[in-house]
Amino acid sequence: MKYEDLLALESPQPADVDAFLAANDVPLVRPGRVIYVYRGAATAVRLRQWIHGLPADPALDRLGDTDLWYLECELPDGSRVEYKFEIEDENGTRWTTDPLNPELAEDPFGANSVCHGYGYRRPSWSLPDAGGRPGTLDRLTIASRSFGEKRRTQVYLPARFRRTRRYPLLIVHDGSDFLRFAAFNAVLDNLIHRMEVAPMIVALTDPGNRNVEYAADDRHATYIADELFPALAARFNLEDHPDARGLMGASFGAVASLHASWRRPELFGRLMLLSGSFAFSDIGGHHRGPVFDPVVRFVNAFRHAPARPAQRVYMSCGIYESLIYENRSILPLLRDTGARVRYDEARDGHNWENWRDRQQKALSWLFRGPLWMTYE
Amino acid sequence: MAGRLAVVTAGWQEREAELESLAEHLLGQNIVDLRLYDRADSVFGKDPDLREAWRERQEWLKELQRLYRRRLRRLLDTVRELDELDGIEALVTRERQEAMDAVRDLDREHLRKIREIARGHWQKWKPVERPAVSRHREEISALLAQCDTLLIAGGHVGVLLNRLRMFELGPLIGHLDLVAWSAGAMALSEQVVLFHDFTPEGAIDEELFDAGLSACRGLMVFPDGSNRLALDDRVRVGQLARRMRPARCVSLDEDSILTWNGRAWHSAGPVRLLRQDGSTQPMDS
Repeated sequence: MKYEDLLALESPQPADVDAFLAANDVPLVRPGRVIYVYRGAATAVRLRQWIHGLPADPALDRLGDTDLWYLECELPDGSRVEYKFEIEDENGTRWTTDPLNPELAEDPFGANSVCHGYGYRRPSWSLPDAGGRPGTLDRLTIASRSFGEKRRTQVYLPARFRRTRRYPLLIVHDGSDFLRFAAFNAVLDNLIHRMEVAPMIVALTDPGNRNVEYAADDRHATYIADELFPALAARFNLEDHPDARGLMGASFGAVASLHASWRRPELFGRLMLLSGSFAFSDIGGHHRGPVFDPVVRFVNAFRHAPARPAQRVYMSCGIYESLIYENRSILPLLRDTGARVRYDEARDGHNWENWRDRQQKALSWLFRGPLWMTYE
Repeated sequence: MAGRLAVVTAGWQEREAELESLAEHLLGQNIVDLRLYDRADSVFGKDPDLREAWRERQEWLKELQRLYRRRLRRLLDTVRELDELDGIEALVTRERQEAMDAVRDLDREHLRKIREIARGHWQKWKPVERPAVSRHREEISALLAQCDTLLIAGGHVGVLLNRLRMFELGPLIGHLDLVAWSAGAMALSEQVVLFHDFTPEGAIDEELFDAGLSACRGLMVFPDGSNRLALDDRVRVGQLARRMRPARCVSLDEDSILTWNGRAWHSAGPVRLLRQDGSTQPMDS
């Protein structure tokens, strides 16, 4: 049974709902639109979505006397959004992923349901390739003077890694999360295999106290430049020029990347900033809470006297993020520093799969692979 | 192909020895694998001074390429801008011509610098006179002496050229028929040009990369042209053809065959000539 036929029924019955759900995958995706559907006993059902500019919790309508709830929304083609349902019943209110939708995206806080808007396709290069040759993960432990404790870093080595060969280096903030939630090892394996990205060594770092260390903390910048990088250079055969060294991060990780690179531009020539939390205030305070205080101080200082943090920068932000304004604001400043900046916007939110989907353009812009030198 | 075949697959790098698919195409004919990539590794292991010198040479060439690329981008931007500009035809035409001449001058100068670096390195280090290289070269020479045809496969064109040069293969192959494809065909040209209009970051500017072995003269080959060149973009095609003249730019695809019979080229399959007016046409013999 079609959605329109179901809605046209004067007195829909449970069997009609059964027939509708048996015949349709939900949410129902149409050009420019999406229809969310929930089935279950409830007094109210609301959509919880993270789309800046839209209401956070629009209510679903109940279909007649059935237990089917539905909501039709605008959703531009190519979008990808994450959501949950808020269910209100006699037991109170709870949030749940969409039981009828198997598409889930995980993050450090759990999982969200995923709606792929009309025309969205997960990039093929982000899927594990059973026939491909995977890279390997090594480990490195550093007794950090900056933090007064041991720090562990995972190190991705590309397939066919050779000790005698020199490699570029990319240092990733929130490295373990990129591996878990953004399929980063599959992404690297595939893009390197396709020769779109140079075979490279990727150091996947993790923070201690993330909200402090990634918020433009000088100790962190020192750790990256004067402890982690020298340890990597001592252990691996790295290309010895800034063009072959990069930092990347998302959200607060982007702030940490920009800050560390801004302090040591001679060291890092490549920078990837994904959905950076570049909060600032032109006058007065800000409204993002005390965690952002050091970020705002840093971004204000950067805005006051921009200096080129790297020769080449990739930036992106989801247009459904609240940070889109901040990212658009910092873009012209970065360009004015003389950095070559590639900037993309995605119809997506502040999440790992958005950052995953940007990697082909980002990595190939920062670390061009030998595709153009290879003629099979 | 009659007679005994030798093959160079150094462009495949770590996959050099994976010859199964090639053997299938050759229907079981015996192939002498010259193993140039593997031999170069052995040389680097046995002669650390040469390895370091080679690395330094590569760093210089890479840096030179990077600097050239920066200048090239500006000059090509000017060419493109003028190609789109309206104005007094006689004046605009002349400016366009001079803008393209500037690109051609840069290409020529770049190639001269590449040769200068390579020559300086060669004269200083004389690789083929060093025991680590000469032993392999003698083996290669003996293998080639028993062969009738040399096959040069594609892959990474920089690595391929590098290995061909390390063992100075040119003088050893004069008696052989040459069959080369993809990067192998590029390596046989007088000049090697890198190109790709469809990378994730968009079209790259065609850049002069190196001199080739000059076994095939007057032609500049663009393998997999239909997939790597925007052949329907008349402006781009025309610019490329004008830039590379007097060499003829030829797009090759699967089943394209170009044969030199000692007097002229003969083509079969989808071989397309890039013309200065931006069109393409099947290549005449």
